[in-house]
Amino acid sequence: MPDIYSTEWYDAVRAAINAGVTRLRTTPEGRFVVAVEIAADGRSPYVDGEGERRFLMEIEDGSCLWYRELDPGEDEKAHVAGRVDYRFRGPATVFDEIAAGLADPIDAALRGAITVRGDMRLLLRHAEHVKSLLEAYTNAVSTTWPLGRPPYEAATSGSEGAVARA
Amino acid sequence: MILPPEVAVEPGGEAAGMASMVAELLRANLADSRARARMARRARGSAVLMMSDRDLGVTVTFGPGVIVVSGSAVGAVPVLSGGWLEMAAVCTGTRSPLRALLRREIRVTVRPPVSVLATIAFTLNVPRAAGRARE
Repeated sequence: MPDIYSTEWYDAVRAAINAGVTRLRTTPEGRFVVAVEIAADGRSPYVDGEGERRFLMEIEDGSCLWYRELDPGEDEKAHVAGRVDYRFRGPATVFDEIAAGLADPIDAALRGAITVRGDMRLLLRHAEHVKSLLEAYTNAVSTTWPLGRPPYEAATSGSEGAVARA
Repeated sequence: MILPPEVAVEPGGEAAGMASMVAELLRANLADSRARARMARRARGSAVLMMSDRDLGVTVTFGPGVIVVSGSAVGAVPVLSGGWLEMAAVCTGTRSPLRALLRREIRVTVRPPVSVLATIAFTLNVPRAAGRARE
């Protein structure tokens, strides 16, 4: 089983996304670049201090072509020909709980725990695809948690400011 | 030229994320469609959009020159409700509202002002010619 947020883990998520896409009636046409920003919140041990982990992935005709974790300070434009189409940002604990199957990603977005930026019309038009993509992230991969598995204890002095600019 | 009303999001509420998404959808549709902008400008009153499978709702209020979207379902106003997948499909025009109503995938609670139901259904529905926008 791959460690959370490792290359092997994202490879497994990518494979699960692409397997799920084959079962959908319709998929969005074209290419889309998605950025995921996982911000430190003082609880998750997988994002240090007040930093963040940033990932880029490219979707073509519903399938995930590639994903890449950016180094701290690395410019995402180095990997993206155009602009980012969708940006998901939220506290690390929320992403960890989603990956552990403890939180529902749709609920997190609807309640604002994860902010979503981009063309809402296209996103909602392909809600079934979004659901499939998120289910792969949530349910499809057995994961190991080398630094501890959520739920985490409540932070005594959280760094909520790390996600405030979302 | 018809200036579309401003779309504002009221901070807070349990469905704050949903309110932001609905506001984005409205802004894009009103910018692209004069018919939708005209209808929204004339409309007055509130309606609730309820994601029944999530027990989350937003209230959309059409006022003079501004549409306010809040992340909570409040007031004795008309309600359009359904599962989030069904609501997304109806809002973006990938499923007929009439068909969804007949199949009971979405439900309408009719309360005054009834006309706001037509306004919200039309203004949220993505214009056919809308292209792919970027962030």
